Amino acid sequence: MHPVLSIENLSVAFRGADAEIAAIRRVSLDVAAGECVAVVGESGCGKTQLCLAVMGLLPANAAIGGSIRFDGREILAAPRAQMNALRGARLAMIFQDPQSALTPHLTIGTQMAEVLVLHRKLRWREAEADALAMLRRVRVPDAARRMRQYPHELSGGMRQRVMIGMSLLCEPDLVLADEPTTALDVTIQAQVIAVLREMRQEFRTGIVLVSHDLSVVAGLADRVYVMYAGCIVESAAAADLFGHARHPYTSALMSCVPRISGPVPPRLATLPGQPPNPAERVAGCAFAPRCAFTSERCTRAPPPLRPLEGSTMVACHHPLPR
Amino acid sequence: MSEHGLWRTALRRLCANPAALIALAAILGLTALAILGPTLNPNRYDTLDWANIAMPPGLRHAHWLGTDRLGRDLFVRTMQGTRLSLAIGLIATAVSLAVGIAYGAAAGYLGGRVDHLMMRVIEILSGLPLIFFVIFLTVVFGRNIYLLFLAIGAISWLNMARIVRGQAMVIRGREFIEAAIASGAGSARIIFRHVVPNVVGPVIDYATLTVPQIILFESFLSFLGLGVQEPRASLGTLIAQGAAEMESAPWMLLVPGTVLAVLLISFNLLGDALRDSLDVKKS
Amino acid sequence: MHTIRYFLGRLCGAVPTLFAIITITFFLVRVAPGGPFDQEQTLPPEVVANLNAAYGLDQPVWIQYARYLRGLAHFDFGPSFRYKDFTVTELIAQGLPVSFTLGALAISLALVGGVAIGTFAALRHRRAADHVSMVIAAVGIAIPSFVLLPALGLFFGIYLHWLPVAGWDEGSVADLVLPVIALCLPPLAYISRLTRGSMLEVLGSPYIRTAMAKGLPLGTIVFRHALRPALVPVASYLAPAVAMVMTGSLVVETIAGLPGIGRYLVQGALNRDYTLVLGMVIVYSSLLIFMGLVADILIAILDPRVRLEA
Repeated sequence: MHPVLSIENLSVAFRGADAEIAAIRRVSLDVAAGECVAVVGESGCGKTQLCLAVMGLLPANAAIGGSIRFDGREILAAPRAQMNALRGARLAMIFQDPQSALTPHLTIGTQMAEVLVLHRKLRWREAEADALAMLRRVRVPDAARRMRQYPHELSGGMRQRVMIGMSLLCEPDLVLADEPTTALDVTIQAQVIAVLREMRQEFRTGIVLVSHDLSVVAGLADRVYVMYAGCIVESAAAADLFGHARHPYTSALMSCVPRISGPVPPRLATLPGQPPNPAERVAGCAFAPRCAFTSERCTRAPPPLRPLEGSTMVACHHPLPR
Repeated sequence: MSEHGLWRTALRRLCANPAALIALAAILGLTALAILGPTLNPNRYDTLDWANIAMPPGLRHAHWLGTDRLGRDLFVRTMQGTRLSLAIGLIATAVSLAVGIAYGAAAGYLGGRVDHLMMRVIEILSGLPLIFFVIFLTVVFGRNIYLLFLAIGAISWLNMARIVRGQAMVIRGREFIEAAIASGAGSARIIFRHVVPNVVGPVIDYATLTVPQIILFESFLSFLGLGVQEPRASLGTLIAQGAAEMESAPWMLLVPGTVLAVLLISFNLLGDALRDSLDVKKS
Repeated sequence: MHTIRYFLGRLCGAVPTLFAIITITFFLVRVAPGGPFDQEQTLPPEVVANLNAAYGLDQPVWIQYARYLRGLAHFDFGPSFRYKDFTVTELIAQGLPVSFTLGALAISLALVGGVAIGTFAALRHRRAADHVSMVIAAVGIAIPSFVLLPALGLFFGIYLHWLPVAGWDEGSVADLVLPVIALCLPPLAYISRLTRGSMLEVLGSPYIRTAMAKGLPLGTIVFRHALRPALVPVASYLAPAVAMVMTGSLVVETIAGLPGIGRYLVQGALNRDYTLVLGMVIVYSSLLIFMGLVADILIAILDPRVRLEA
């Protein structure tokens, strides 16, 4: 069975006034049907741009190279009509910050129903009935009243559930979830993750979960890609990655996550330094300046992404032992 | 970005904008002509040349842009009118700047109840159809140009005050104002030494857009017969006379009309360009 | 229900404002030197005294003021001092339909045209069509209607003979074409720039990206998702636009020879026709106050987050 989404050697750069800024460098990524793939990394590492590239929503000044195939068909640089037939129907996106991602002057009902009217050719009344059913499925309380309300009248958690419900209306093959829980407090986060997990089982939807929050990823993902400065530095099955991180960056990321069980560390680990300026070209490994294991080789040659045992891939000259 | 670099960037952007440069050149050129023009031509603005009544433009006679019904030279009259319009525009803008900046800076800096009260006053004033009051004022106090300046300046400071107040409120929170307070400077001193210099950018931009509004307004009043009186000319009176004669002598409308339009367009384009080049968001 | 209550509340709130305007105007015109009958120098002083007595002008000012207000309470604007045999109410009632038609057409055209051009320019951001429309808008803002109307008349009337230059032939549409164009162009240009700016901001907002991610076609995105928030600044500009058109109509009606009410304001002020001036100020101020109220309600309709609070 071919993957539902297959990204090969994707590069995205933004032409600015003075310089070209590379946001994504030669990224390859596959998502099988019904699989949940997580993309993790610090903010600014290119995760959101990756989602927008798949959706065909990058701004006009973006230079895009490589290939994105959805269900076996090339969609990079596909004409707008072709993308519009996919978007919202078979390919959906959940945006971070549902406060600003929902149209303020349209009711929840209208914003949800219009998707079904467009893609399923339903009448408005039927579409609204289906939208209401979806709101109930993503466990929005008092759903019938919410349909008539405006986004600003809902709580943050409810808005995010609306966002999720809206993306699932046409039972898409793939959902891109960009930081779906970032704007929410912890208890609501857990509820939203539960909703995502249920939806995945119910609709067999492939999910690309983009997050900087490893605890969210651990609860949901089958496979994890770790991004740093626009490149994938490690990819592995979730269990392997959380058991034995092989890239020093992955390991450093995990040590930043506070654990509820186990001994309390004397102080919370932080990752020193900043990611490199995306406008500058780095000769060696982009992570070298912040890495504890840097050798002379690391500053000279960029490490290629290479397979280790199992399905694990890592881009490091000195991968950590198992 | 430092304050210095900000200005340099703004200047560079302005120079890269051809429309702004053309507009600036047009304004400077018309200003020079308005000041020097009348001396280049042998005719005076109020000389009646009965031999050459309503002459069309041409270079073979001394009336380059033609004459009006009384044989007065249109070039000289238009340039004199332009000079008057520019003077009115600049003076009234200066009045509105002075009042607006003082009022706005005080309201924004003092804040609280004072600010609230001062803004209510502006709200009420801007709700009134002030143009009618200017028409009355000119009627009541006779057709005195200097009163006209004052009246026009007095109605156009409201927006300026709003802009300055907004900026002053932002600046009030910054450290250097706190430092000035800590060093014992009084309110008036802080407003004029620290707040006013920091609102220069938006104020320049707004002033550039106020000048054409006032020129337009003066022409409008003169067109209605409420402004400048014969034999002196303003662009508005010339256009009014030209409109009455346009079937037989279209140049009497086209000459002052074109000058007014070019002047207003240039000021507007320059104002827009200034706004763009001072826009921090774009950098 | 809430909107109606707000509307009525605001209307009541407008009464003191209008009262203040009437009072200021009433005393302002009387401060001016000269009276309504001064210019008829042939009149012997006894006749002027009789005229003054007939119109109650020999009474103390505050009695005149009280009488005027009493008349106003019955919607009686008093007699005109210069247009003999006419009351101000009659004069305004005769001219208002023409002025109202002219103004309403100009405002509607400015709104529709300005929003259309501004939206178009925003969708063609930084392309030729955008630059061209914005240069035209800059020119449109700058050319005053009293220059534009004679110029249009010169071109379409005198050279091309397509349209009448001036005159009013009892409701002939052709007579209104040039005045409406001259009157609507400045606010149209301004509205198109406002719309372009707000539309660009809205089109860059996250919820438009969401709409695109739903696969909605461009037309639906613009009309259903982007237009309403982009119209908020236009609604705020409604009252100033009406004021701009009103001001323009003072000269446009004179140039085009339309029998509207525009000429009464300036003529009334020049002639010290106290009641006529007051009547005009009341008509114009009420309209402006009303448009301000309409604008606030429009904004609340456009943006459900805005709550109307009296």
